[in-house]
Amino acid sequence: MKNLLTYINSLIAAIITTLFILTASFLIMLFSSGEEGYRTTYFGSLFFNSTPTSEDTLEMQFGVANGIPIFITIAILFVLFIFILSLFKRKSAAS
Amino acid sequence: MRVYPIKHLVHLYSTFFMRKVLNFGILKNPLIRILLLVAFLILMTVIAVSVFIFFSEALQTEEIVLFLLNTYSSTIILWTIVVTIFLKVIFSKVDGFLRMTINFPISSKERNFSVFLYETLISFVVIFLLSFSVVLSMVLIHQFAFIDVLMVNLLYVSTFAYLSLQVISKLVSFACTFFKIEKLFHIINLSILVFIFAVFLRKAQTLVQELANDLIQETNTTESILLFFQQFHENYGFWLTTLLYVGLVVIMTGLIIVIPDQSHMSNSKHLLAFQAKNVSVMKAYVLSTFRNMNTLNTIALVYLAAIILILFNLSEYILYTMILLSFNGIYSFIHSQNLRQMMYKFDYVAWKDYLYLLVSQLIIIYLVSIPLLLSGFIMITTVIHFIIPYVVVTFGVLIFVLAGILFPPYNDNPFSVITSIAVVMIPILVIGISLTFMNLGLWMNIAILIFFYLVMILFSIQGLINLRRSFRNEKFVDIH
Repeated sequence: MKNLLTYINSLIAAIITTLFILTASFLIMLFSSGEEGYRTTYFGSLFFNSTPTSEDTLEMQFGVANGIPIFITIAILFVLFIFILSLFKRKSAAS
Repeated sequence: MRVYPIKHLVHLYSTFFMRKVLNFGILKNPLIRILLLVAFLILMTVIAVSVFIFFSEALQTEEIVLFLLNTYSSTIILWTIVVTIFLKVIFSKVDGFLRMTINFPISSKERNFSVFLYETLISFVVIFLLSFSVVLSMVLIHQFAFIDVLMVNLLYVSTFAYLSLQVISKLVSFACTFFKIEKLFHIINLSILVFIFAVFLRKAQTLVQELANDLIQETNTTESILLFFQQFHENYGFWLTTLLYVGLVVIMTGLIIVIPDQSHMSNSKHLLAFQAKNVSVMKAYVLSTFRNMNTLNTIALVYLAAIILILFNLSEYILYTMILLSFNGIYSFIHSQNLRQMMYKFDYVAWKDYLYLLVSQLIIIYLVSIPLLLSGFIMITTVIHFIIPYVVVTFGVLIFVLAGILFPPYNDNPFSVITSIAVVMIPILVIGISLTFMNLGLWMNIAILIFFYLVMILFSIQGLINLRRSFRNEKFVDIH
C-alpha cells in the first residue's frame, strides 16, 4: 500500500512538473519574436500556428504536435521522483 | 503606543508563521519544500522572461511606455483591492489566533497596529511579486529613464490605495463599536470593500479604453480618479508628487493608529442557529459549520455581493457569488474537529469523514443558493450562467476541503490559509493553463480533470489518515 502511494505521488509530481515545463516552453515561444506561421517548442511537442486571414485578422491554432517527448519527460521524471522518494524514505527510516 | 511591544508582536507572528506554516503539514518534508521553491522560482522566471521579451519589442516610444504603465497602474489598484479583501477575509478569522496575546502587557492599539503591519507586509510581498516582472523589464530595457513614472504608477498608487482601504476599514470598525454592532463589523467592512472593487473595476474598464483611444489619436484627454497621482506628476513634477504622497501616507498612517479598533476582540465564535431534534453525524457536521459566526458572515456577504451585482445591472452573474461560500470549505476540517476527535474514540473511518466534510459543505452552499436561484429564474437569461456557478462551486469545494486538510488552520491561524491556497492553487493554475494551450479536445480535458479530482480525493483521504495518526502519536507522547 505504501509503495503504491509512492508510485501515485511520483506519477502526480511527474505530470505536474512536465506541465510546468510545457507551460514555460509555450509561454517563452509565444512571447519570443518569430516569423509568422508554424512554430514548435519542447522538442517539437507543442505547436503554434498563426496565419493572417485578412489585413486586420489573424487566425491562431495551437496544440500538441507530437506527444512522444511529453510522455518521455513524464517517464523520466516519474523514475527520478521514485528514486528521490525511496532515498528519502530510507534516510528517514535509518534516522 | 510603544515600538518595542509592536516589534516583539511582529516577531512573534513571524516565528508562528515559520513554525506553524512553513514547517507544518506537507511542508514538513524538505523535499516538498525544495520542489515548491523550485516551482515558484521557475514560474517567476518564466513570467519575467516572457514579459521582458514582449516589452523589448513593444516599448519603443515614450507614449507606448506611458500607456502601458498607466494601464498597468489601474490593474495594480484593482489587485491591491483584491489582496486587501482577501486579507480582510483571512484576518477576520484571527480572533482565536490573537487570543494568545490577551495576557501580554500590551494595549489593544499596539496589538491592532502589529496586525496592520503584518497585513501590510503580506500585501506588499504580493504586490511586489505581481509587479516584479514589469519593473525588471522596464529597468532592463530603458535603465532608469522611467524610474519616476514607475515609482509613481506602482509604488505610490498601490500604497495610497492600500492605506485608503485600511482607513476605511478602521472607520467602519469605529462606527460599528459606536453603534454597538461589533459582530457585524467583518460583514459590513467586506461589503464596502467589495462595493469599492465593483466601482473601480467599472472605472478601470473605461479608463483602459480611453487611454487606448488617446494613444491611437495621439491626444491626452483622459481624466480619471485612478490616474490622480499620474496627472499630478505630469503637472507638478516628481518632487511635489513625492511630497504629496509622503504627506498623505503620514496622515493616513496617523489615522490608522488614532482610530480605536475593537474588531479583533470578539469572544463568541458561534451562534445557536437552527436546532435539530434528531441529531445524526451528517446533521452535526452541517450544524458545526453553519453555526460558526464566520460562515454566517460569509453567507451574508454572498447575499450582499448579489445585491451589489443587481444594482450594477450585472444580475446575470448573481449565482457566481456562491463561490465566496465554497472558500469556507477551507475551515470545514477545523469546524468539525471536535466531532472528529470524538469519532477517533469509536470507529473512525477516514473516507466516511471525508464524505461528511464534503457533503456538509455542499448542503450548506446549495441551501444558501436557493434564494439566488429563485431570483435567477427571473433575472438570468443565459442557461450557462446557471450551470457554471454550480459546477465551479461543487469542484471548488473539493479543492478547498483538500487545502483545509493539508494545512489545517488551527486556532484560526490565517497564515495556514494563505499558504494552503498558494500551495494548492499554483499547480491548479499551471494545469489549467497547460490544458488550454495543449488543446486536447473536450473529452480528453474532462478525462484529465476527472483524474486530477480523483487524485485530490485520494490525497484528502490520505491526509485525514495521517492527521489521525499524528493525533494518536501526540496523545501517546502526552500520556507518557
